[in-house]
Amino acid sequence: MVEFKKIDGRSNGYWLICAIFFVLMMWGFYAWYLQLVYGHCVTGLSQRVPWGFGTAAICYTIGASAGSLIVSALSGVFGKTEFKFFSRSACVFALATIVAAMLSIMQDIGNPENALNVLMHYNPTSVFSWNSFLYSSYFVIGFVYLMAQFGEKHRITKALAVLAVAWAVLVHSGTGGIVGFVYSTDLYHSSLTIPMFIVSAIVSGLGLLIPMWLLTFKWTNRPLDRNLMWVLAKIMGALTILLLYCFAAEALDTAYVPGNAGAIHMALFDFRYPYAWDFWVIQVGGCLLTVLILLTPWGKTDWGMGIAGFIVAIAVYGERYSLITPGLGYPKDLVPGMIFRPFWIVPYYPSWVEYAEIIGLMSMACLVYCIGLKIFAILPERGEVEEE
Amino acid sequence: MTSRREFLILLATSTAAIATSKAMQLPKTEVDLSKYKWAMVVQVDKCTKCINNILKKKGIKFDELSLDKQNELLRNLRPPCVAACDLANNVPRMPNNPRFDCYMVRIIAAKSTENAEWRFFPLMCQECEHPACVEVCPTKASYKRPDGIVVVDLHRCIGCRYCMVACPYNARTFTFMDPLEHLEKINPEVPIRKDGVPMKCEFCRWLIDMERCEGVKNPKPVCVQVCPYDALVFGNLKDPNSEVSKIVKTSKVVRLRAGLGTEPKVFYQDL
Amino acid sequence: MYSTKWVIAGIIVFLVAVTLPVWYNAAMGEQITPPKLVLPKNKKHCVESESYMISDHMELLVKWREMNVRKGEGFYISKTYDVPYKTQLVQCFQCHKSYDDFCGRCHNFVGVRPYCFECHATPDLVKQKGEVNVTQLIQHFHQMYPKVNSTS
Repeated sequence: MVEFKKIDGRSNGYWLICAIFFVLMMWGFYAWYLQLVYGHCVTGLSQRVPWGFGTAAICYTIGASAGSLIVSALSGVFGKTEFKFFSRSACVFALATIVAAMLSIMQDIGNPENALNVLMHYNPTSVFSWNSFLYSSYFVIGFVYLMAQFGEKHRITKALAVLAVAWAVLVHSGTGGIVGFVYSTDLYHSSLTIPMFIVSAIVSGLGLLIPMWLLTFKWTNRPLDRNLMWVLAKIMGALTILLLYCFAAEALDTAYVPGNAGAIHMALFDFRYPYAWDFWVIQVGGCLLTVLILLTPWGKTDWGMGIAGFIVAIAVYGERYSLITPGLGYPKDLVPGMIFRPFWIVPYYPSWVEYAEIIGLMSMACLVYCIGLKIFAILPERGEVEEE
Repeated sequence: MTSRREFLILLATSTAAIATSKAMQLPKTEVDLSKYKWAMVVQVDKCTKCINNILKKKGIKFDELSLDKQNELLRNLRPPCVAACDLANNVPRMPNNPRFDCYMVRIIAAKSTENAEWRFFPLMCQECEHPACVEVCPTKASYKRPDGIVVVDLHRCIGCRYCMVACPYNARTFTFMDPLEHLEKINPEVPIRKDGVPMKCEFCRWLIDMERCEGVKNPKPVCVQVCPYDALVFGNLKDPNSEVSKIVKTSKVVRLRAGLGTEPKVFYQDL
Repeated sequence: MYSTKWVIAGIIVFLVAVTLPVWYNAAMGEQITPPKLVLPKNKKHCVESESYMISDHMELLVKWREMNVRKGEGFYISKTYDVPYKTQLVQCFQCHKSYDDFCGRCHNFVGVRPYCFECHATPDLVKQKGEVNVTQLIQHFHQMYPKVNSTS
């Protein structure tokens, strides 16, 4: 049996962490307020690039949520009881990030007072419409799953774990479909987007959870089995390699079409624009660095695993960014087969408002996790497999 | 459905009408939209002539400009069709701010090879038969009417900009800020719009709807009416005798990005 | 019951706070008078009967909105008077020449802010900015850019 126990949460350190997250959250909400008052002109978006950092934030937070829920359900689905330590805290984090994802949708849309129309007027051909139902049901399923864990109802928990994993995959496939099904630009239309979204969701979920767990167990002075963390880190590393493989496959596939030469050159090799920097430094560089760290002996230490997780979490954000923006930054082929003007590449740089919004929302998710630790019993007293 | 109050009104009025036996004199309000399929033909030869004349008056040789200058010139070009559209449809133009500049019609220059001469034509919403924007709209705010016009219902729009991303023609623009300060004058028949919603050409729906309901035979959008070269032809594709149907039947017309299967209803003649 | 005192005190404070406007008005001795509206001259009736317009004009406008934007019906035929009206907000402003003198007075009095006028221009705003009349606009363009003979 795993004993779950609330943390004390009275130390100065705990209050300091909560205060930092709260301040960051309020900063994000202040940025949102500015955006509501002045319109979307405070962001870095433009007529040609109407989706940018904010949309990447939606995909990222949903991915992190789906990934966390899949990790949380590991023990239930695969019968790995040793991972039961983490299932509650991962589930709480998944629920907190899906709320952050909903809020980031609200931040991104231009007319939030009409937002309920998504539920009222269902459009069966729109991937966004499918998602409006997937997201809300996802939250309910995750919540019931968490309740079942609190009730220590093992058979129901197991059944719900399977459902939760299936639903998390479905939800994030839907998110991938939003981008992957768009056929107006060649950089968007790709059937690889959906599987890649699932892989990067698990990677980013683990990437956020591993450093979080390491820090929580360290600061609450509870023992944690490093071997378990290493197993998770190894899963993360293997999926990161898979992710790199997907990048290569997709880039080569797009580049093989002669008509895409200009677009792919801009996205990958033209360092005058932010897209190539993002691709090579953050996306590919971050993933490679993670794999390298995990391959060295240092990767087995707390610092190694934590830093690797943090880097890959940012690298996945870079992936979301480079999925969405280069396709819009390069002009659409308005008059096929002809040279046409106006023809200009729009470089998209996010403004501080967009950074503040996503940082604020992730801080909010972390703050919910910190408060959750204090008022619910979600953290095991000993993060170790008991010897029998 | 009629509410109770409306039912009472109906009851009262019908008795009143019977009592006074008033003759009803109503305009012929045509509401059957499926009789129409609005389409436009752009005669690129005439458009090119018009733009070349404007450029000649300004003393500009388009071919000799750098790419940036060409882009800037085309962005700020205001032939009659664009200028009239901007005024009639309350389009907040921002010539100095290409990032947020809203447009409904814009002028495109194209040539097939490096040595060929530039050809100019307007590009507006193509009113597709299978529109990508309608496909992706999560609230059915963008929808296709039976007469083929793709309409944005701003009362429903949540401003997610999915339609802008999905549109293969970049036909839509977004109001990034309150459009009011960028309007010189206001046409009260058209909404001035708020910040955070998309806008696009709807074949001057407010104008041709009213004229159709009033019984005008050939309603025309503003750009078609003001074109000095009669380069734009507008009409009903379902009527075999309309000018549009004849041109589409007999001459060489192309549709932009036809390979995507969106089936635009704006045809380009001699492109 | 836990902390009875606090609960009862809280309920009393809540009741006082909710009914405060009544007490305030009773104490100040102000009489509530409905706002006076500037009605259009030389007009016999509105779209429907007066009582219906006062209570349900918003429902009528929503109906017009559906007719115009979603169904493409340009005219609404009055059920009381058998007269056609354009299904547009402009139709209202053809008789009621000002938002501030007519609609706004009631809306301010009851404290509502209809979101119609975030996107639709009120006549006051149009007057301030200058109006575009479509027929005049087209005539103006015909003068500025006369038709070119297609043969030349």
